[in-house]
Amino acid sequence: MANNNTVQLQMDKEKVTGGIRVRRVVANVVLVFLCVLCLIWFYMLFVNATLNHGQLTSGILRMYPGTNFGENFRLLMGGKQIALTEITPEMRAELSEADIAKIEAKNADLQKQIDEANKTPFIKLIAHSKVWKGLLNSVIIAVGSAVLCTYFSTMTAYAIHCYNFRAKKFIFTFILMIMTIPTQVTAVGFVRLMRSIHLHDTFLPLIIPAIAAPVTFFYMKQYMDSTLPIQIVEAARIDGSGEFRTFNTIVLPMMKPAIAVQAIFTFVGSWNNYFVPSLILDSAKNKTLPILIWEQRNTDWKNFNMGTVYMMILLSIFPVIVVYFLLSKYIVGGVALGSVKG
Amino acid sequence: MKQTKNGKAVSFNKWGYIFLIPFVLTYLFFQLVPLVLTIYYSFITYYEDGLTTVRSGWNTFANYAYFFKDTRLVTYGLNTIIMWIIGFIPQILVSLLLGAWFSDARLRLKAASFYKVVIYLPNLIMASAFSLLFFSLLKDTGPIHGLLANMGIIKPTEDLFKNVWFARCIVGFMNFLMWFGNTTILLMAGMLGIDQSLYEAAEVDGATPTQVFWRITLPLLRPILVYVLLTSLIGGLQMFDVPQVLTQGKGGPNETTFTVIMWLNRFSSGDKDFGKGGALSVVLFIITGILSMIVYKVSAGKQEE
Amino acid sequence: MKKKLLSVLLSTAMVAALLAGCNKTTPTSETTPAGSEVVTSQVPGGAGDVVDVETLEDTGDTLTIYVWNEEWLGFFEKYMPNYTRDNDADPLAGHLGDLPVVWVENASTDNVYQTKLDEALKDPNADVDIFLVEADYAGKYTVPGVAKPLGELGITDADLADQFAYTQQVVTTDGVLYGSSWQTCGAGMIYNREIAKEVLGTDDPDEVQAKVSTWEDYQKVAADMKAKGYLMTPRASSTYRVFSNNVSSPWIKDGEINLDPSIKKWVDMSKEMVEAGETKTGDLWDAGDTYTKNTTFCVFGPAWFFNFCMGVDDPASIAAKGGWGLCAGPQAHYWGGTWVCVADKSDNLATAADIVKTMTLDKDVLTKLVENENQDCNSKELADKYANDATFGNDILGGQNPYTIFSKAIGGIDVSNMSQYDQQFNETFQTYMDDYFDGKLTYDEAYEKFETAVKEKVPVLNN
Repeated sequence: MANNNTVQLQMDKEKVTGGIRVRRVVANVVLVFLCVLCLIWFYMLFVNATLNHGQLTSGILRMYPGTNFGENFRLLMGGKQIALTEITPEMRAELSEADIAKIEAKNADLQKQIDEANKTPFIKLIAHSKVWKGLLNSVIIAVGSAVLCTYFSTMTAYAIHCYNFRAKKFIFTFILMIMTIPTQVTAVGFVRLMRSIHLHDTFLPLIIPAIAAPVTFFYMKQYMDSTLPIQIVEAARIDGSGEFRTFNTIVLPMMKPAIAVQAIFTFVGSWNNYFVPSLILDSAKNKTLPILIWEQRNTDWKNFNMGTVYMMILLSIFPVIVVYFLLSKYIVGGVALGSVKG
Repeated sequence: MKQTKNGKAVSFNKWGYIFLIPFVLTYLFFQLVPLVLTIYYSFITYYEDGLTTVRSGWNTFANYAYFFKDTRLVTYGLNTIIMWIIGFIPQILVSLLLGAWFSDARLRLKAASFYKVVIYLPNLIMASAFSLLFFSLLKDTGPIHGLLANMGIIKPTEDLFKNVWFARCIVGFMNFLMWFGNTTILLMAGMLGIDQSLYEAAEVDGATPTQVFWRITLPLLRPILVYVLLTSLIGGLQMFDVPQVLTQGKGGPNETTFTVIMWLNRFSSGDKDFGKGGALSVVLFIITGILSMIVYKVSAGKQEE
Repeated sequence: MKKKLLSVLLSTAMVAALLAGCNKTTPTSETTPAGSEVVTSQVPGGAGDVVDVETLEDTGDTLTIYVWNEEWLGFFEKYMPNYTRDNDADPLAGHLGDLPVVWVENASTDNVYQTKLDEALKDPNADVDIFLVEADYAGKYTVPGVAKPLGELGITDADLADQFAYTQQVVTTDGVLYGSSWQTCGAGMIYNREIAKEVLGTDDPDEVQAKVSTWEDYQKVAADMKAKGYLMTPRASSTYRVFSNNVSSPWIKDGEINLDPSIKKWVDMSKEMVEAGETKTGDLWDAGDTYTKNTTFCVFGPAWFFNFCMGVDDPASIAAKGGWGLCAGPQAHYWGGTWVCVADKSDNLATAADIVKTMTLDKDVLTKLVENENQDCNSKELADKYANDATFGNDILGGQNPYTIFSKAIGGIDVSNMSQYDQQFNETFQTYMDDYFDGKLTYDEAYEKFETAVKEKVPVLNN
């Protein structure tokens, strides 16, 4: 009997292995295709950051990097963009000598400006660039939002998941309802409210509201429904753990994958947000990266350069990717869930 | 004995209220005031004309009547839902397929971690920058257009974005591309929470991957699937950025990609009409609420058993 | 989903903005100027009752200036006497003599500049002394109680006599002038010289101009272009601005929407041209290969077009080879510009008045702006001078001096029928007319849809 079973199992395994090879190939082909579809945009952004303004506005899409990466970076850091008038042989033939002299004088003047600009060492230029302050501001706001949002959304979900109280059903329905409110509706009213209570030009209105995030709450609640048995909490109570401690030391670690996922989503959402921050923040020292991107985009035509705009977009994506890679180990399954199931 | 037990339960349950305090306070303070104001505005005449603001009292549902005097609400609503469905169906199918592959221990995909990380990346780019890159590939002077024209599939003079179904499918496809990684990650996070011993037991019992997926993974993932469906529906009804960028805000051809939020945007950019904008928001809110409730009841109802 | 919800509002702007490569920066895009209901038509509003300069006072402790980019700030640092930056790394703070100056910079993306300026103007506790406006929406601010009439700043008609009329019409309301600009943005027809030689037999600006001096002639040239396989303009909307600059009645007349014959003429001409394959519908800013290959005969644009979107720093572009020519085209028009206004509530009127005079009216400063900063200055006298100066030849135009064309053209511009709603009207109108040109709607259907949509963008018509 036991022997029979073993033989049967072995035969099954062999059948399956043949099928698995085919499935593995199919899966890999599909996944590689999807990855190309996902990565091509980053390549295009990179290529665009290496092109000059003319190439970017010519209407022809380029798929190979250009040579302007360094120059775009220099301009973004506040370098000057000054062009001299080229005196062609035709011009020499057509213009009078006095005119040529005038153009040369103008060029000499411009050359002086270029030399003046070049006096500032590149390192100093980089150090003075407002990009870094913008980066820091963006990091503070995005990290603050992500931490508050995930911690308190988990707490709210835990309240609904683990306890029975009279208003529970009402609160749960209420939060689901407010989740369906189009967010853009209240944005302008929100900004006015912040101005009237003198919270404008501070980071608080951009961080604190993350505590009440219905969408994140709903995810945490659903996640608990499928993975957090109430018995674990009860076991902790028997061990004499306080409710708050149970939440922090037992529930939170179990929620790691969900927290990592929502932390990324919140971070990215906050990081790329332009509209509300641009209305809340006034002073130059408080501006975030998306605001700087749009200022770059709004610059006057003499300094306007699509190459620097793309360089700025590329720079601003970089930190998000870093954060994503840091958190992704929780998502892709590298983290053992510990003694969750009992 | 019984008394004590009850007393204890009550004292535990008060923690439910305590844990809710941060959410409720923050919500009341930051969100409820603007929301209540929006609803209030929807019942009065209130708009801007340059720097002057015109405001007068109760106008007996005139703002609401405005949206029901022609069929545009239905037209724009259907545009929105059609484009959402075009994107959502492949999104959920691909996500489930990838989820099944990634969680299938026997498949042993060597580069699984790489795939998992990469598929989410499009979501990191600002939606507007992403749409822009996409548009530059497909526009009538872009390379894909040129390629298709050279292959004789389309006429060189034909602008793909002027074809109704092409335009809608492109919007749907972009939404798919931006969100399938997101959905897959949500599902995978859910799968990670599933007790591994269930899978081990299934393997020992000789269950096929298909059986494991349908009998174990899917039922246990139901709450997460409900979440994906609901948030995607809500996000879909609020679709704005992709059609806005791809059609330069026009919703063309002939308003067939014009969404409800693009309509709302007309009332809330430039000289704002708080009255009509408020009314449209409330209408959209009610429709979204009803659809969400239906979806929630249908999909989550069975799960209670 | 969260990100989707959050980013929704962001993208309005990206559309207009990044898509094209060229767009709203200093020079405004697409639409036309304002200056609602100007009473006098040809003669711009005067400075009004002139107040004695001596009575102006500075009582405020800081001078606050609202801007959407740092262009004017740059000029200010160079040419405003006694102005110094406080700190090398921060351009937004400085001192004018002893008076601290604060610059408030907000990008115009998603209307953020206007939203914040409006708030500051309405808020009694907020300080605004000077703000800049663009023609598209100037009419919103050039009204009593918001901006100060120049007359009340001690600026006389004599001070203003040398300015071009259209630059004053843009900031005139009910005959009163509320702002001043240092620059002009005359525009013309920029044509491809090689194509001109092949099809018209000449690339000489005067001879080309003779062939397109009326719209009827222009359409004849378009037919010739089509016969040789060239487009006339990249988009039907390329010519819209020329027609909308030349209207004889405003968009709103007695509270009703009014379609001017000039705009109707654009519709009829464009419909014919699109159907004949002489131009295409689509986004104005997406000119495709117009700037790199000999496919399209001309575009309509101002001087800032040259560096802005014609791709001169790309060696493969036509601009880099000096392959463009410039002529006035069938009708005169302008595109863009920045105006300086003093806030009615300014508490530093004396300084503000001095700044307007120095930075927009002083001949020495204007001369420097032309010679060092590539600006077309708002002075008939100087414009004449530079129109005849051969050293102002432009590389992109193969050495042709654009000021010769532009300075002549802007003298004839009359924008007295513009209103503060024009931006909304012109954008919406073109959107729906594209559907008509494409044959997706009849003219009447398209017009009706336009009316419905524009009323939703201009709530005063819809309530």
